[in-house]
Amino acid sequence: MIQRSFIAKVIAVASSLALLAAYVWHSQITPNTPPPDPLGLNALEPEVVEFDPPAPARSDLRIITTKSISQPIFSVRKLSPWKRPMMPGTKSAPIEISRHSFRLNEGLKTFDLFGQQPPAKPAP
Amino acid sequence: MNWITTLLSVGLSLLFLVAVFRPLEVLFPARDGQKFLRPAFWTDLLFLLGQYLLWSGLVFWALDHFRGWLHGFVPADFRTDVAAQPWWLQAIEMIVLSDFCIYWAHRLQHRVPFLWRFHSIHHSAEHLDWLAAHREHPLDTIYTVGIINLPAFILGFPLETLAGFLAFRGLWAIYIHSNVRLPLGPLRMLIGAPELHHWHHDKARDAGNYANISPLMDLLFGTYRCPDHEPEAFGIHEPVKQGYFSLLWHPFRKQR
Repeated sequence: MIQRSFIAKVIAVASSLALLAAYVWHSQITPNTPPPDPLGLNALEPEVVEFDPPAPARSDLRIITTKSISQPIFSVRKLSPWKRPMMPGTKSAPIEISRHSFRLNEGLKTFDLFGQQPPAKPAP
Repeated sequence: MNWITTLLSVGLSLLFLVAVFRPLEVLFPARDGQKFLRPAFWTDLLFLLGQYLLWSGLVFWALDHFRGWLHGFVPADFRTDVAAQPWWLQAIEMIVLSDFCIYWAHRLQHRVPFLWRFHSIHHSAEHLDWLAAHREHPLDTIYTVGIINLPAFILGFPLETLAGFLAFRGLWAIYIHSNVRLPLGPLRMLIGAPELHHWHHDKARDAGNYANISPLMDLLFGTYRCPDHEPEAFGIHEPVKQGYFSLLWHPFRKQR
């Protein structure tokens, strides 16, 4: 009886430590997920154009928490059993998101397109 | 995340916490005979669910704004100088400063009546276990989490690099509330232990042990306390109703 109790204690400590280690490892390698936002606070944010180097994206904000585990610990986003199956013979296409930008190049030479003389060829 | 995945995630988190702490509470109890479904269990469960489903979003939003607001005050040169230090030194600075800030902020919560109104909700728990750790007013959480993150925000320290350590810290803060007494030896002086934090929850309001995790600040400032037995009673002297909504509203009641 005493031995069974001792074994139970060893198993309890070992399993708790194993879960603790797994949780720490999971948190270290998994990107942060923002908590649920049922109050819709993020929707209140106005669009802001930033000229300085932009602040890190919201989802990257990791904070020190007290008396709680920092975020929902298990990311279940990849589990989607209710997701509709694809049509046979089709495959999903990656979504391409591009950013349009303009760049001001200073010091470029200009020439008169309508002038009499054609522009000089650049030196080889 | 939609609501189904959110609920699934919270359910898994809850199961995880039970799996980590319940066997230890059964086999190494600090107080013998405390049941899983002890008084005010459902109130504390609502605090946990409220925190995960509702209030953590508010806290996150407030912290994000706080960080953005601080960003405008801290000179860029200062951040550049801080970032030029070795990574390990920045991490140590951040941890020590966080502990220092939260230690004094916590002492203020016990001294200043306005702050105590909110913090008293956490201390109103009369049974301590892993679940009671979650009993915290959301505005109290914003104050605490804001203070503890202040050094990282000011120094511009990338907390992602310490994600594992932060996860450990969050889980350990729950552990020190649990109904467990495990001999940790000298490790206790580095990361804290339930027997220390249980004394902080003694019914006396200025019970000492204000540090969040490591008791080093308590040793430094003379508030370390560790008798060799458990306190007689947890809770507070003020009368409070133990319902979830009643506790949320309690700080806004007229004080007699």
